[in-house]
Amino acid sequence: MVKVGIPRALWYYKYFPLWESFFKDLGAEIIVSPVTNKNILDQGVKLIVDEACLPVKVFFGHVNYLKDKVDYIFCPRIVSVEKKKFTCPKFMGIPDNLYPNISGFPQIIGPTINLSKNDRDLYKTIWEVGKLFTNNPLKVTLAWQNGLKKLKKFNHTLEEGKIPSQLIKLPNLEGEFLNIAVIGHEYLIYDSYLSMNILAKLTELDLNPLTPQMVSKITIEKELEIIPKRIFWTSAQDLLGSTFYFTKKEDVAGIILVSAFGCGPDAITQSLITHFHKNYAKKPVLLLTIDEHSGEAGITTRLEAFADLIKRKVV
Amino acid sequence: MNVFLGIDVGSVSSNFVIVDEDLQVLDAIYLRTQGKPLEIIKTGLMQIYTRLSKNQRISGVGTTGSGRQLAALVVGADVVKNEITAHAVAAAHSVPDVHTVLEIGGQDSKIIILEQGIVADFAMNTVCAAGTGSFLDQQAARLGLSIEKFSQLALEATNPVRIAGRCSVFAESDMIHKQQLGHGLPDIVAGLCQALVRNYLNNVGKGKDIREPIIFQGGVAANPGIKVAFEKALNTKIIVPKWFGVMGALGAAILAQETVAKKGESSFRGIELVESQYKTASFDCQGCPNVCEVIELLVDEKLYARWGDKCGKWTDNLQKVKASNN
Repeated sequence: MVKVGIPRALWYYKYFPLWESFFKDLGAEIIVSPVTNKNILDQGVKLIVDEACLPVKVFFGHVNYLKDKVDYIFCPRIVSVEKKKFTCPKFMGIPDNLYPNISGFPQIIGPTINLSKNDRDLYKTIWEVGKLFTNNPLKVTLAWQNGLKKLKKFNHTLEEGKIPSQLIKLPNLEGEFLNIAVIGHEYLIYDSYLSMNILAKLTELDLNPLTPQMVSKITIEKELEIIPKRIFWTSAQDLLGSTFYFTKKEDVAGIILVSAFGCGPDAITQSLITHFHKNYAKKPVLLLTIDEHSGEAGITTRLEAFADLIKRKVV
Repeated sequence: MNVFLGIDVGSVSSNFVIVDEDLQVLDAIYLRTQGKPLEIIKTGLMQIYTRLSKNQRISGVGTTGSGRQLAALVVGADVVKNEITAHAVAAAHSVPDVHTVLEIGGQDSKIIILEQGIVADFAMNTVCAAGTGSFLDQQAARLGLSIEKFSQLALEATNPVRIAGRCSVFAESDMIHKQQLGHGLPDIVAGLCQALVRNYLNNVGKGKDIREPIIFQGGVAANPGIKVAFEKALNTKIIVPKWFGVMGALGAAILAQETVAKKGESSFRGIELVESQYKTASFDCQGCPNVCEVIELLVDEKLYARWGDKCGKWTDNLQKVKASNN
């Protein structure tokens, strides 16, 4: 069986139900790299330019883990997933950075996805990937549609306020708890190593984390009407819109903004959040910046103090 | 008479405060941690004991600071609290209607906003420690001055120079450059104070509701140049509380008193603990690619505590080791 490797990083956290189902239906064996660990991070940091953000560096660590174990590595160049909006420019350049930086590299399945103008070419792209595995166009179309169904179901679970255990395993909340919004890119907050397990740490403090992925696209767009200009990046738009939604929601006690050191879009999102947030809501906001150094004590201190603040208690 | 002890083990200094039942400070000790938290905890306790009068008995202990977990294990603390909450508690105790707390310590800086004595908002420096006590320490050493002399110097300035405070490495080259140009030392030091304050207000203090009464605490509050720079930048009066340097420990002591009042007894290990031998050892766990650094605390050669493993494998197995020790 043909082995397809999928790095557990970046886009994976958003699209894995679709990807895994699609390749499985086409008859491929899927190998997903493990949850980020120290070794993967160290390899990633070594392989890629200093200027990249931590999640991008980690992506290279995952690719490096997979390279000797698979026939293909799935690494699409995702330029845009919706009209007139784009993804992070650092992500667009990833496929170009793979060959020069990692030696002994297997074949890349690296279709370009660009839906900024229209989605006419999408099915052509899907067929180009599919024909590596089968000559039957119907099989490819069905595999895609089945994958979309899985993705929809997955997104639906999130919108119901539940974090699927395939995404990240969290301890169960027992007894009384307060809701808290954790605003950050999915590849950061659901990666337990990269985020220093912020979500689990919060549940241990009796706080129930709510994430941007739980807010529907329609709500996000409605919330963003107060911004005079269109937001350029899809991810920034989602983070901003969901923050506005959570600030208004009465049963949300506080907001934690999580960002990776050196993230360009986040620098703008966070400024906009602090700017607009002040105007109409009075909820405590905590800013956490994640970097390569493993200063877990600093994160714990801030989360504990934030929990004290939210619960309005001292002893 | 019952007294309560607060211990704040920080990156640069370790502080010990003794309060009575009415939360009045009876004694305070400020020691440099020098990267040896275990020894400093012992030294501090010994000093406290020699200075306690005969009728005073330690009936509760609280720990805070980045070394709070370690300190709590060694002394058997009743309460372990993060330094933000501890500082807020001490600030609200010193100035009951305080609204804003500016705190600059050895390697971190924070701002705490209180409403009716309860933390309503806070921020801490993110990935950069520029503009904290360590940097001032370094610069004083580079100029061959004691930190006390260095901090007085700013007050003699007539025309503070402009120094970039964004990054301590750039600030240093800026300072050297200004020296070469022939500016006087007091003007340079005052310029540095202003740069730190600018940096603090633009980073940690960004978007925060800074209103009077404002208090300035932490080790750096000993530096009158910084206080003056804050007053100038904010155009208000700044209060430096009497125990500004040991506010974390004071907060921990207050929390210890409250905790013991609630639970009725203390888990403090008592004076005997200074006679024990404390040692830490560490090893890299090879169980998975995370290669966690596991740290062990040995009390009189016996394994007492273990931490640092992400999965809990070593911490869990501690109970078994302890049982076989006895």
